[in-house]
Amino acid sequence: MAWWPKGWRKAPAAAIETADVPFSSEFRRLLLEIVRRTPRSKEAVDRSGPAQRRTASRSGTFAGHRRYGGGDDVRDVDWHVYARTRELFAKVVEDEERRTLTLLVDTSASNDAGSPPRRLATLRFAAIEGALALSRLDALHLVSGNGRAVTLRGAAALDSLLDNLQNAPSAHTPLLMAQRPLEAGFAGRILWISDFVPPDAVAAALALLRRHGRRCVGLLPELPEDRVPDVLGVIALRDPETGARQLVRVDRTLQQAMREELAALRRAQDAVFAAVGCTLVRVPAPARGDLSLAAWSRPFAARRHAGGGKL
Amino acid sequence: MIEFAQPERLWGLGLGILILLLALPPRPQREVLTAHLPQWLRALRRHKRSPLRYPWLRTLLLLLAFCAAVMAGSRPRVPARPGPTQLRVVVDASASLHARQVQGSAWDDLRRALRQGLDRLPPHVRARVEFVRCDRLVQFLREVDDLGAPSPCALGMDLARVARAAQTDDVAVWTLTDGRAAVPTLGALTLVGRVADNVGITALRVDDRWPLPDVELEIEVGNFTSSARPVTVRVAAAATVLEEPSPPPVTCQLAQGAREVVRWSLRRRTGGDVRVQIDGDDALALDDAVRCTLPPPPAPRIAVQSDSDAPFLRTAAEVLAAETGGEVVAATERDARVSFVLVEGGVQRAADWADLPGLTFGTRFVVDGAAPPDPAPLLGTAIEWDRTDALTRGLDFSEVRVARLAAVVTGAALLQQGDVPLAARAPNGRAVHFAFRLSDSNLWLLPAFPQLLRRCYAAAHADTAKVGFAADNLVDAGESDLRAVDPASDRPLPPFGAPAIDLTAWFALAALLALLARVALPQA
Repeated sequence: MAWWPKGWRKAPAAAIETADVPFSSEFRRLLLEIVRRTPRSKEAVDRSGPAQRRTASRSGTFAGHRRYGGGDDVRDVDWHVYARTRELFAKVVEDEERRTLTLLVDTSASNDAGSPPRRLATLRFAAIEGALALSRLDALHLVSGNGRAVTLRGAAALDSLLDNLQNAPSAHTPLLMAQRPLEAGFAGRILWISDFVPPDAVAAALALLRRHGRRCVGLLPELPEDRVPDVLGVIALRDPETGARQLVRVDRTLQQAMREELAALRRAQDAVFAAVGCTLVRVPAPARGDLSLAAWSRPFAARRHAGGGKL
Repeated sequence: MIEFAQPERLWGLGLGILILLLALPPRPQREVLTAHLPQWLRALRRHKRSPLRYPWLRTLLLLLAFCAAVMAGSRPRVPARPGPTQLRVVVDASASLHARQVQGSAWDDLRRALRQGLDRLPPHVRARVEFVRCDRLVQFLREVDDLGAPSPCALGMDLARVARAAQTDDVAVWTLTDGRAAVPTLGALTLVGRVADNVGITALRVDDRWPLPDVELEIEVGNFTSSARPVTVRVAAAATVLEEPSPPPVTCQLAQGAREVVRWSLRRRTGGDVRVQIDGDDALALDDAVRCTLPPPPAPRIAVQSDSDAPFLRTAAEVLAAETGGEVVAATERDARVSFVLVEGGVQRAADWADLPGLTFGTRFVVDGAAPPDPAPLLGTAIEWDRTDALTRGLDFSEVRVARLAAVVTGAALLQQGDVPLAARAPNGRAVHFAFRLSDSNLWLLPAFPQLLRRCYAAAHADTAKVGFAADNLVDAGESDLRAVDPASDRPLPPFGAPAIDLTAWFALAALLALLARVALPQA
């Protein structure tokens, strides 16, 4: 009990620096530099998954027609058939290569935790991966936390990518996010960027992808607090997602206990991915203000090292 | 409603804010957003800790204990309520309460009302019951059932005055009566009386001629109904009490409110209870019968001792014995069976007559061995006698002539000539001493002499000659009239006052309990 009642005053909230804008002009230049420096490689084509799938596509072996419907590209219309039948049919070809990337981005409020906040690294890593996909692959399917999917094509869609990332609603519904590429028939690789807390929440989503023969690589921007809690004394802990607030007196003993709890959390996250044969890659989030090429190329290298391939 | 004897101490309650402030948890150094809140909580649980919270319950209990202690120090109390705190119950216990009513008697109704009223009294009110009977106030403090029965007497007191005298600022008065007499106009009032018809014996007079067997019995009967009605009066006694055990009943026709006297001339045989009763199934049974106890006939043993040859004294003794059924016996010293002694002349020791019943005529008494004085000469003036004494009242002694005195008598003179007493009562009251011999006077010739002789005998045996009356024998005349009840209506008991109740101990106890509860409460 304090001799002087200090608790009646509200504690200062965690500072959010205005410099933590995810897609500043400096980062955009860095992004372009990363795209320019990254060589095109055939290894970027994901050959995993079912061998033959019939999708509406402009390249590949012709497999037949189907009625033209909503969402089909006008370039897929077979105008010869239209000339004969006066009805619109889309050409169906067998994919020879799946040249797309599905990017699942966790935009929940839990990413506000950390200093700098994890959201900064999440969005920037997503931007780097998306930009590489737009420049190297046929399409990029961006699925935000609420399950909304956007398909982007071509390098010209980079601004749109950044806008979609920056304006994504604050949500993280793993099962909904995993269902979206399955329902829409998005081919190609799946990259999931999140803090994966709690791990149980993503287990069902990963299992769903596994049942449909889809593989997923998890990318976790790791903060220093994810390993060692850097707090001591009386601390107000607030969960940004639920708003729950607890007042805790942190000492060395509790710090050590928390370190063990975080290690257990990491083991649980790894176990969830391992259970479905997927890979979870932890990439240290660069420090605030660090816009070096090496720091932000790290996820690409790490993912390649983990077997996720490169674009 | 609570008030405080020292309300200025309540300012101490303001210090309670310090308890609230001191109980505040420490201010956090900073707020940290974390996605690992569940992990933090698990780490706390592993070390049996919990997050810091404001200890609302413990603080509340401490604040409660503090407030209770401060209030206890301010001497809380429930304020006193003005009003009487004592109750004086005045109960009419007159004979009319015996009247039969719908359920039991009026006395039963009164006791029921009294019990209900006392049961409803607040616990702090001290009640004292006084019931008025035969002009006496009897205090009664025990159970209502121990009230007993009302007296056969009239009220004898003014209830209004009793109530007025009893009522003070601190004492409330509650009068319970049947309303036959004037009721109080102040205090609470409960009337239990009902209008009823009644016929009763209102007076009894016994003229006992003891030691003669003649008895004159006189009864007054009253009709307290709303119409004329015949009343039959009977005299009854055991077979041996009277010479005529069952005299014929007398029936008299009584108008409404009328009273009539009925007389009997009886002769006793052995003495005993004589009961007079009237026929009538009315509201008040108590006044339907009276009873008296006649003394037995004396059957005296009269001893006569005379130094005179004149037969007057012995003749008088024989006449008295014949009238009363006694006998004349020889005068033997220390004969305990002798009930009356007649002595003429001679010398007697005064000590022997200390308790001896009888008459002496011209007998001289020796006191402490000294020679008796000589009598003074008569002056020949007129005879005077005490006309108020029970022995001489109504008798004529004016013709008494005394030739000469033979002795000197002392004491209260019954008969005297000039300043010389001729007869006087003995100090024991059982004997009369005459200063002259019977044969030296003409007293034996006068008609008053036999009367005087009988009266002297009756006076000597006054303790056995009394007519007995039971205490509950006769109802006072006014109590038999049940035709009227005071029209006043019942008045409830007033609201009683209450003393102030000190709550200091209760507040101190509350403070202690709150502290104990706080101690027993596990810390967060």
